[in-house]
Amino acid sequence: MGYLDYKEAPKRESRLKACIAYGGTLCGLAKKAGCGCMDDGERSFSQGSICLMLPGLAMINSLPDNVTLLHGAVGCGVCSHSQNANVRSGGFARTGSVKDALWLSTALNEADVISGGEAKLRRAIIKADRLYRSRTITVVTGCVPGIIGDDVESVVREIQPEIAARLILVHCEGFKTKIWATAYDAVYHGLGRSVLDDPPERPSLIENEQEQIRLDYLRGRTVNLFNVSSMGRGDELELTRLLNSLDLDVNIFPVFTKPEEMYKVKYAALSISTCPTHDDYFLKYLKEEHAIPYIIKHMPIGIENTNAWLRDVAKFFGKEDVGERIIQNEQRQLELALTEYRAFFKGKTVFVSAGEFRALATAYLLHELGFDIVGIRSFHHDEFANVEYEKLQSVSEHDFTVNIANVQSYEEANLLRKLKPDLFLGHWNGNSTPSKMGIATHVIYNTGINYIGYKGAYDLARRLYKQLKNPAFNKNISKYTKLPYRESWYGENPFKYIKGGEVDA
Amino acid sequence: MSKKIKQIAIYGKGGIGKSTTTSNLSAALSKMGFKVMQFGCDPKSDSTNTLRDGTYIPTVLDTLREKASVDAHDVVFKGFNGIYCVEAGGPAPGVGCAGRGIITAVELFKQQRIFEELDLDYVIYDVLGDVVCGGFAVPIREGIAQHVFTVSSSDFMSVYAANNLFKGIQKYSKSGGALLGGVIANSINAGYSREIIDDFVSQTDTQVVEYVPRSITVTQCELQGKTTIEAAPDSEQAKVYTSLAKKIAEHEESKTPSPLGVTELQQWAAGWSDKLLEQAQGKVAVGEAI
Repeated sequence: MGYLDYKEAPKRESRLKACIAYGGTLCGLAKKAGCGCMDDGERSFSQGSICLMLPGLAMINSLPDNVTLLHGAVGCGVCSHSQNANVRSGGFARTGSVKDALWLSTALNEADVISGGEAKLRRAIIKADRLYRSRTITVVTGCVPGIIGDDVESVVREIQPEIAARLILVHCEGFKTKIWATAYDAVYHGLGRSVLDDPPERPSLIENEQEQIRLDYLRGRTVNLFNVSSMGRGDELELTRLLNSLDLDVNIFPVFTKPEEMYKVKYAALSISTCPTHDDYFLKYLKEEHAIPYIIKHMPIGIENTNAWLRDVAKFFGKEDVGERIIQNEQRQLELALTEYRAFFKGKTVFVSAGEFRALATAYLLHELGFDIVGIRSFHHDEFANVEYEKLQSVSEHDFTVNIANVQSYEEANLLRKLKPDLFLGHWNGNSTPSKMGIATHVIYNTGINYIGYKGAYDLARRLYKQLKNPAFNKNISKYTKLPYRESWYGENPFKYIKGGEVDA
Repeated sequence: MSKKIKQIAIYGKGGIGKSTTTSNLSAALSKMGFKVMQFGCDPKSDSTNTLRDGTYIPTVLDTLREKASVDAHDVVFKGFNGIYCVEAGGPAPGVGCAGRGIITAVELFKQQRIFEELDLDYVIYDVLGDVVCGGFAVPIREGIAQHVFTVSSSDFMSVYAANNLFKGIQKYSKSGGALLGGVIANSINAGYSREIIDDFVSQTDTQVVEYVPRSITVTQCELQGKTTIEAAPDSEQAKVYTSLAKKIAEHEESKTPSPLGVTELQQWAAGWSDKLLEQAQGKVAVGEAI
């Protein structure tokens, strides 16, 4: 019996011993993680956090022809408004038509909480089905149904025969876990339990051997490429291009994938992750239940990372020499293009802040471009990233600050004041802290532009060159705006409020 | 292929004797050679006391408060005759949400697959009978208990609670939930007590599994922190509990109950209170106490 036999995915504190509080240095982290004694710390002061809903809905809202039905209080899922931009642009990039995300809420009120929300959920599902006639309806449970004990599983199961849409159920109770990355497991869990059935087929009267051979041949050269919601279509195309040049067909899964085609994920020779922390739950499931092997190493951001990623795939298919030729060809062109930027970047300091894998992979790329890394913030940590920290350790000339934090801007502000980097890369809304300090910033991901693979490396270099050539805008902002922290805070230890997770400041 | 674990939920109005009954049932089953786990689902966390010489064990939820994740092994304790004891625990009176606590504790054990690992024959959930919210119905839901037994005396309050419980069972019966095995009639001594219960079970389409008389032996053993099976194994009361255990061990078919509606229940109670009035007025022979 695997995890998917249960109603909910287990939280990452239990499954992966993940951690969201640590303050120290790269060497400190590598030492602690390496000997297996990486316990989660606690913060005695916390400024904001991340709810599971946000990354969960980012994946779900992307599903084409889907209605997202939030079962909970009306405010949960409000992040859908900001995610809508991505849904529109991402949908346009893939289909040529612009469509909004469709999200509804059962908006449980006081009476519903007292008498149970199941009846309302039932009515909401029927109404959504009649109004939108979508292919799927994804029921996402927030905190409230989890507390009052709504049996959402039964409601969904009993009502499915009455509605045309396929129901998907995702449990996203924010109070259950502090490790927000559990959201990925929750979404995969819901998808795995609802949309992997093969479409109904008329069994053929005569067995067609040739057709079977053809299907087996195709299957043997098809790979599942697991994308993430922070990747844009451009990044997907870059990876698809590289895989195609190994003569492989690509199933992209799950973001922006049509649910009715998700069953194809069971018919591939190999699953490839682009972000290990995102995918391990589902990759293991595919391996255990459908015998599909997987590669879960390296996020293909950065030159060496992309090389290593491609090499692993090539090796699996016995095409190492083809892989090497591709890598050499790409790298030759890339190195030529990067020459004019490398000299400019040399010695400039940079601070990176993002979800763990993206932060680490991007940091490695920046190092390849000639930057000097002075600090990394990862939004959480689990064991898959240990190898990335080791990579950085092996190439860094000096130790640098590492902070594991589910945002916690006050720690960031303190670190930035002390480290004074020339450049900061972070999530677009997280960049407000460094901009107000006058530090040049660039978004660390944006689905409209490229970051991944060889093209991504070049595009990023070009954008950073432009940014650093004229960082006047942020400098001006810093003259007229202030951050809300007291001056005394900047003199304190940035990890003052982390208990148990620190090594040395 | 793992053997089928029989999972039973025992519900009953607060104070009616369900923890006493459950602990003695567990003890009797274990003496019959079965591997038993008793899972207390009352926030008072005192279900398994008499299997542990009167001591309280750390609860699942207390442990969860201290650490971010709980290893189920850390909250399973061995009691009398090797019975595995677990207390879900819950919030202090007046705060929090006990129902959510039950959900969390039960899910934790399911996900860590402890029942299979310990090779159990029986898991017995001892649950607060006033099923006041979704969380307390978790043991009844599909995938947890298969059979529910309710402990009730002939006092109307406990009969009302049993009737309410039947409504909950009926609701989940259509979606694979546990079905009703019957009523364990507790504190039944003589006279009308038995008839009241018998009448109730016939109206609600269920059965009495065992009549358990009120007995000073039980109180004496509990004061020592032990079950009757442990401290007074040769007593009459111990024989009653052993008989109950045998019946439950052999029990296979549970049913959907037919709870009485509000008016029906009122009329039923009114009918019986007339009879009780006759008794109090001396129209019935003295000595037939309820």
